[in-house]
Amino acid sequence: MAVEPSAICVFGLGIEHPLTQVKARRRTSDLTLEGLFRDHAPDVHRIVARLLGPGASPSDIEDLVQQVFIAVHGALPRFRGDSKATTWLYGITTRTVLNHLRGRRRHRRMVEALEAMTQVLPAKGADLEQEAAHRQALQHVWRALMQIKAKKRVVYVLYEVEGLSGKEIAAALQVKEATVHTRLYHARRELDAALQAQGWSQ
Amino acid sequence: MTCPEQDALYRYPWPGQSEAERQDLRAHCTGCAPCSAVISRLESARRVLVAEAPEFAPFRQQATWRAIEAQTSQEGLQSNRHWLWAAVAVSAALLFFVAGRASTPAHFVLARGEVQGLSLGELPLGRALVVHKDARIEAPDLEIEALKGGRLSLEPKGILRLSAGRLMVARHGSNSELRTQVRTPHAVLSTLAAQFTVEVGDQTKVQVQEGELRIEAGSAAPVNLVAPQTWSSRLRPEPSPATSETRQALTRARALVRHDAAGARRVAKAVLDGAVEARDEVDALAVIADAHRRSGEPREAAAYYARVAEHPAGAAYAEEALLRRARMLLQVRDYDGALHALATAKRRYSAGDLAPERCAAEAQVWLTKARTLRAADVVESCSGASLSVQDVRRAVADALQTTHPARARALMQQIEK
Repeated sequence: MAVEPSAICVFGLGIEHPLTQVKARRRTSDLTLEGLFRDHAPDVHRIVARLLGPGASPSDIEDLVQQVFIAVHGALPRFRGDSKATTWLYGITTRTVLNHLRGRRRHRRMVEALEAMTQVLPAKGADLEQEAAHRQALQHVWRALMQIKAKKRVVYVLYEVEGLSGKEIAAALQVKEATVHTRLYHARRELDAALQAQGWSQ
Repeated sequence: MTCPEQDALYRYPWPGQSEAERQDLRAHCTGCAPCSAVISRLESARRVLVAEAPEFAPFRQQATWRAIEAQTSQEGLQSNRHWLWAAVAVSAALLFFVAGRASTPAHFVLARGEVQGLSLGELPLGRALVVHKDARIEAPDLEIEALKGGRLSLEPKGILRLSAGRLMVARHGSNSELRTQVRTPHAVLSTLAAQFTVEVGDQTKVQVQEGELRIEAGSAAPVNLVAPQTWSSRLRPEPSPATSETRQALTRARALVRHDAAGARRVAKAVLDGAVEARDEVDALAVIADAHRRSGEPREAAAYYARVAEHPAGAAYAEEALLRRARMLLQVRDYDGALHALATAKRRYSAGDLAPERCAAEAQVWLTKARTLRAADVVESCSGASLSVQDVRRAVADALQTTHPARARALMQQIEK
């Protein structure tokens, strides 16, 4: 099967994420919890949801968003502006989710929730069929993603889905950029193997 | 069948990779079946993941913000943050210590969870624990945080007895058989799903932050409190029973929307049939609209969103309702209706919070009508870089690629910026 050369450009495209677009460089004293929530709550919510996967319930996601901003509130007085405020916020979000994902029990519950993902949509209407197909595809991809360790999975989602650069992810996770690329490499390789084992084709 | 270049694909683009190396890899992939298959698999998986972007509805944002505000406004939380984990460790150690000395297992399970490996069901009954400020108990559907030190004991049938102190209790309610009950010297509080703070001193004060809570105090009739109501054992400003029942019904309906849209619609319609306050009427209309949307009935959803937007008490939801109406109408190819809804929203909320999303929706309508240049005009004027704006920019750029490559490139540059 031949693929157009442009396909490889899309694959791994480093689109700059809205969160990284700091509106000018604000002084740290200008940052307030309310302002950060107003400007970035939807981004934080989306990232949390994408890192948790489709098995997560809306209340789980909202709880984590809440935890992120509570952590932000605690850390705000110590934020000196060494990095972009958004990178800092992004780091707190990712670490909160990673902390949440820690432990086998949580992993097992996530897998169970994914398997229990119901498709209660009635079978008429093109849009509903499309939606049902999307949910099924999502379930397949996440089944494969769940076979990857959380640390690698998080890097994969941040890079490929959220469009962050390696440098931004490194800053958020407080690791070296080379570590990010290594995790990304392993994540892609393992994901591809898992998809192939499932007979994935779209 | 594999190809030695496959490894390079998983690494692409690696730091320091030269443009020549990238081009070589691209050229190789065009003619290599195994590498093309890898790209195709990973790219289609990525597309599936990108397409899933759950929305954070404005009213849920408000609720989350209220909960954050309630927690962060607690005295000393900010300055004592670094002590929190130490306090948690101390309280967990205390719980281990107490549990270790229990000679007989307890007969109730407070929540089916663990505190660092300790089953809450093993805690001794009736023994008062000194709870330090910031101590936390976390379980899958229950979370308790001591906002002020006090005394807490555990009693049969899942009862927590608080004789002094202030607790934040969050019961998530995934287990509908298990009702959490907190008893104070002045009242009994019980809930299936709520977040509330309870303070016990010479009186009991309760503030509900989310969900609903039933309070029984002395011989008075039970009171149902819904967020954001407060209650005190000294002053008992009981809410009007009718209002309280309506709010409860709406809370129930909202919770049903995701899993049982028809049920949510039934409950909300029953609310509308009664004599309700304007605010509750708007909420009920919004629930019905959402339920129709979830059931894949865009026409009906659009009609209800219009009623929300036009309602005299619907100002808080109107911008969102008009945007949703436009999206629903776009689904049924009623382009004029969708554009009209967006124009109304623009007139009423020119600089509203959802302006970028409205702009993206308008561009999407023109694009669906195959009016690519008009879509380009609109999308070029969209501000912000939210996902919906970026997506439509990308779609318009794709559509312009062959006829207007310069404009397409400019749009792609806008995305990359």
